[in-house]
Amino acid sequence: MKPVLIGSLVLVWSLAFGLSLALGHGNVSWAALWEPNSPTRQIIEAVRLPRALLASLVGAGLGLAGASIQGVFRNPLADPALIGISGGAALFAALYLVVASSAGVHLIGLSVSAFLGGVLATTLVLVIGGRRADLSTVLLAGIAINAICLAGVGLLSYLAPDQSFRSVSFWALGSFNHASVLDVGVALVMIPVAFRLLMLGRVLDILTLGDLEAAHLGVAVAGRRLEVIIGSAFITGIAVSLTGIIAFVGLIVPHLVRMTLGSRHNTVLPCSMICGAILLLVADWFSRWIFAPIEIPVGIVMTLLGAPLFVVLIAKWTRGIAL
Amino acid sequence: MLSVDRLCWQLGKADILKDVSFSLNVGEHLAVLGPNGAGKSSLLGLLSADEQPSSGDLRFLQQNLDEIPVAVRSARIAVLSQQPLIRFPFKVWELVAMGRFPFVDQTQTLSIVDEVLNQLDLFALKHRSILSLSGGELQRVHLARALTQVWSATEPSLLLLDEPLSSLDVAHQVLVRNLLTRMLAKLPLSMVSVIHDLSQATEDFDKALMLSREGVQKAFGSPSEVLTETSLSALYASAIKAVFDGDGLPKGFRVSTR
Repeated sequence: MKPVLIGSLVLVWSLAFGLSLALGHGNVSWAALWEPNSPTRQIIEAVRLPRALLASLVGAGLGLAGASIQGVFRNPLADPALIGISGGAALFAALYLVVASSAGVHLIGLSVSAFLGGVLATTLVLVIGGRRADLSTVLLAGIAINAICLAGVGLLSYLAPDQSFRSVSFWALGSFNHASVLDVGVALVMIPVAFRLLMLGRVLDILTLGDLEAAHLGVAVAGRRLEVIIGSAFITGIAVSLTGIIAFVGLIVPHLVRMTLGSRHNTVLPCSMICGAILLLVADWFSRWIFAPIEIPVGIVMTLLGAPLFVVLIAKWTRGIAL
Repeated sequence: MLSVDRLCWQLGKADILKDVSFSLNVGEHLAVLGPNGAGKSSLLGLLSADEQPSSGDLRFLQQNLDEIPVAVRSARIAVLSQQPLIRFPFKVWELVAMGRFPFVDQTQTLSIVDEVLNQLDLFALKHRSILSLSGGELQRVHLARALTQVWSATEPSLLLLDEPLSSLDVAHQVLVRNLLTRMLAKLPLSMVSVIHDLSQATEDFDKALMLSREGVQKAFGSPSEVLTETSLSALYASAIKAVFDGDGLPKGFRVSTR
């Protein structure tokens, strides 16, 4: 059943991918697609293809990171952006831009510092409240860390020497506006880490039982947990350094997957990847279409979509209804 | 199979357990009794290697517990703790199947899960979400998970149960007690259970261990030796009196409220 499921999700993704290439403003004549240097070819190659690829990779990464983080925190309300991982990544990325602006900015350095910021934020959340797997403590710790990080990003962008320094709103409301082939190349780095996380599906199932129970079943809890956290922070860090913070992908997608396809991480992880890619392709198309020809950041679309769901989940949870 | 000698455990400066010594053979079921806070769950924690003893000896099959490789230990020692809280909507059978995680050979998993679900009157709930279950149902599901871990035991194994009957109705208490007794007869298994029910202690168990409020071992031996009027009245406050039946076996407590 699982290959069929994954196959059909991949099919839906390729449909969304194709549509995202085909739809958009600018005059595209499909007859000219195969002519070298035709405007159509240039639009597709330089704008729409990298953008669709980046949306897919970042969506897949955030879906996977969200599902993994939820498993390791034993908390279905966790999301890389909500609990501060993305904020930490954004802060460290901005810090790198300020520090390195005189020496010349490098995309790899940007990604590495975003990753470090993500790991640091995750560790803080875990230290403050994650161990007892208390739903509210993790979220509250995340709110605090997020607030600090975004204030830090704001401060840096005011102090930044270069006025062309990417603005606060780029980090706070992620977008695919500047997607380039180079961005896609950097995003590909997520793939080996994603493979490792996919292999940890059964371990994540066991970790949701709790630390002691997992140890009774022979899982090396501390090591596996660290592996999942570092992997998720890595993916989130890369994603944030390329597109800024796109919240709620990691909340919505695993939640929908669990509701429809089941909770075992061997299903949840790969399906969250594919559905995350689909969701961001659609959200990106929507962000280009809704006020065309003006584009709005895809982060706004995702927040408008995700925040109400989050409210519904919290309301269910406070009324004691199982999430 | 399990031998414990002068086991002590301190948490910070507080003594939780002092000088606990007992031994258990294959096929035997040990009851751990004592008031709240006596360290009963801590003793299970030490036996399941959650914690390291501060001093004393803890051997499983003549081997120090912490020297047994994790892969071996997890295939031979199953634990039912006081219930973990899980917030993901796993199906009942999925949670129970997690008990087979330590085993390389997964071919038997589904049939073992079905057998255990049947034995615990859970088969009708097989595809239900664990989040929709009542407390008693969930307790049986967690018990089922622990049982699947030792269900196909061919080598001496240990089952540690922390108040396995606490949320069960009377019918399911009987069901579980009978199942555990059958498993002891059939498998190379020993069990240690933390319990509060005195009448159960004399009926189901081969050995009993009594801990005082201070975590000191008061008695160890056969249940009828351990659970005497003197030992029980010394253990609980004076307003509580143990009640004995015609054969001199303890049945429960009578509480005088003033």
